[in-house]
Amino acid sequence: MSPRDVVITGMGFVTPHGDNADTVFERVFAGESVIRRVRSGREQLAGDVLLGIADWHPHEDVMPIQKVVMDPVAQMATVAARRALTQAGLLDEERILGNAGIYMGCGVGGAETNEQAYLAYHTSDVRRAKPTIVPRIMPSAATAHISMGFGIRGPSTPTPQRAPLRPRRWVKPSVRCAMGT
Amino acid sequence: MRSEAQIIELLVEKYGVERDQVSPDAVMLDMGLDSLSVAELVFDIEDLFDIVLMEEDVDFSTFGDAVALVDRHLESKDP
Repeated sequence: MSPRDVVITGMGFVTPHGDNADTVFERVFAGESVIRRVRSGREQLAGDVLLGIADWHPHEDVMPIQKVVMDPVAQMATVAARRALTQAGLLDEERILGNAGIYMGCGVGGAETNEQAYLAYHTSDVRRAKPTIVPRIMPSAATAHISMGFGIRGPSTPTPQRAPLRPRRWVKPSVRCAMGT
Repeated sequence: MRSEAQIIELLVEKYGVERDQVSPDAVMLDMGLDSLSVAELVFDIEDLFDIVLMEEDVDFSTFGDAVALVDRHLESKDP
């Protein structure tokens, strides 16, 4: 094993294909599509949309008060992170997690919050944003919540998909929690 | 106490506060709201009651403070 090798010890999913590696890969490699036609319920946007729906419940990992400052993307990332850490056997390993880092591919951040803000602005008299819009939208929100939630105190960054995985001047952590949205 | 029931409902539904935690002396921070959540609550209450709360007037230390302030605004708006 070379110093450049990466060992994946746990994987967590919140996807329309399932919530664990076996199910997700089995359905993906079988070519199963999970895209459905769904009524958006918002006439201002569109009647029907094509999308995949993940069956997930954040209640065990995210307290109701936390949802005030967490877009669903951050909630899903927290749920997936817990599943990955559980599979890796690291959930209660405070010392290891304290030195671990988080690398997350995140292109947009809290898209649902963003959409709701635009919807309110263009379809009502609302001309202001609520205080929590920034912590809900910012691309680093998910990594921040995972870091705080699981005590991961090493380098934490939401990297664009094509950015290098090792930021300059940072100490390289021995354990990384890699995410993607 | 015109606004009490609606503010309780807001705290329970959106902020996850247990209904039996709410009392006039209940401190917002003790009910689980942090400073950012309280700021959000102020905006929610303004939207809910269609009122504008001035920053210098807002004292949401306790649930009772919030209800009293909102009731004063409702009274001046619609005696």
